[in-house]
Amino acid sequence: MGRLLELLFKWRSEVLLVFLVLLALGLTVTQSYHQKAIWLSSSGNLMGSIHRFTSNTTVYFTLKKRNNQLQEENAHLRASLYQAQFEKALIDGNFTSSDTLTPYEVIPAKVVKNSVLRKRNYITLNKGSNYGVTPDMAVISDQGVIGIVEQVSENYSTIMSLLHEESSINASIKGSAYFGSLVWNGKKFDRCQLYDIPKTATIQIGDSIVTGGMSSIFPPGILIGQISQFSVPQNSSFYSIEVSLSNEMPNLSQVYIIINRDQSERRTLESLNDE
Amino acid sequence: MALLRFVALFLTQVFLLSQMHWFDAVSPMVVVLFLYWTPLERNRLLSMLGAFSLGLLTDIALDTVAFNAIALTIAAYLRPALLRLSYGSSVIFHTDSQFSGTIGQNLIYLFWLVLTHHLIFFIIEVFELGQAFVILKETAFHLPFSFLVAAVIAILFSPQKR
Repeated sequence: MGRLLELLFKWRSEVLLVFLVLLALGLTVTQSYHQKAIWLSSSGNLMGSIHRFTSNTTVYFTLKKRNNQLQEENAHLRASLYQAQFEKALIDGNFTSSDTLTPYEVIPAKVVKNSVLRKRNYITLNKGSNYGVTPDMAVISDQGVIGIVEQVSENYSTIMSLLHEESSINASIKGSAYFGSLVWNGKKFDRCQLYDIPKTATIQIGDSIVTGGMSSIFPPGILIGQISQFSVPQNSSFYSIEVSLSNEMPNLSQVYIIINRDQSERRTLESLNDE
Repeated sequence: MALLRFVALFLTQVFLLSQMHWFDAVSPMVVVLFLYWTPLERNRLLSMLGAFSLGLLTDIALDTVAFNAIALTIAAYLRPALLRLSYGSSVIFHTDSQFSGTIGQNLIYLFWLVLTHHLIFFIIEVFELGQAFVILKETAFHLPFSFLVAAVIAILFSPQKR
């Protein structure tokens, strides 16, 4: 306080000048229409600039939060999409089950660890049993299929990547009823192989490969990739198809875990046939 | 004496000079003479307060809001610098009155005061820096008349003459 008074005393002329000028300027701006109009216009512009700057800065610092909100929203939209696809499949007669029309839920998650260089590649996500994640759930990104949940802890889960030599996913050629098994031969991290498509099917390079309706894990119709090349081995009735993956597997960040509420019921029922 | 000058300047400006309209546009503004006559040793704060009061009273009488108050206050703040500019620092620190200088120095000092007052007065009146040309034009137009009248008054009523 003492130093403040000392400072004020040292600069008393300047303090008095500022005080008197501000007082007079205040009078001028409030009492004169011309000056008031100019003042309001200038201060409006200034405050507008300040508000714009503040707003831009605030937006920058809330990007992470907004990103999470958008991911949640995406999850809801995807759940709605799968519901619509499921309903369409029922209407088209692709399913015979009709116990529920909304079997899918979607949980957004982030990749915390990823590998593509091994024969058995796993991905770790930041969502676990606390969020309702259980083994055998599908994991996709906005580009397409990624893998299947294998192990779950409270806050994390590990995913068997498409790039795993034991991975096998029901897949079909988009727009046709033919389906086969998508596997990985362990060579290139952007290519998988699709087998069991009969050579009677009409296919061409560039055709999209999507998840098939036979899987109890994946909703039908989720993109996996495109046909990059195909052949029919000698003495075989099936194509050997190479699929260029739509996902950049080494570059994964935001993903979605899909819960199929009908999965356990369907498996229980199907297991009765195996006994 | 200062109070008498204060009142005399106010009355002269409001009831005489501001009633003149030379060339239908110019009324000489000489209230800044208050600072010209302010003694050298006068406290800076007191001269600022005095200038502000005279300016505000003049503004109220002439309906010029607070243009004179701001112009005179700033001129009062700048007074030491204007004195040094006109008389040189050695004169300021080694004499009792600014009027111990030559008439030429006195007129130069008066010129700086009138110029400072007019420039600030028109800056506040126009209130737009984008209109700098208008500010300079108004200042240049009024300055010769105000300076002429102020110089005549200063010579007639300066302490040396008395």
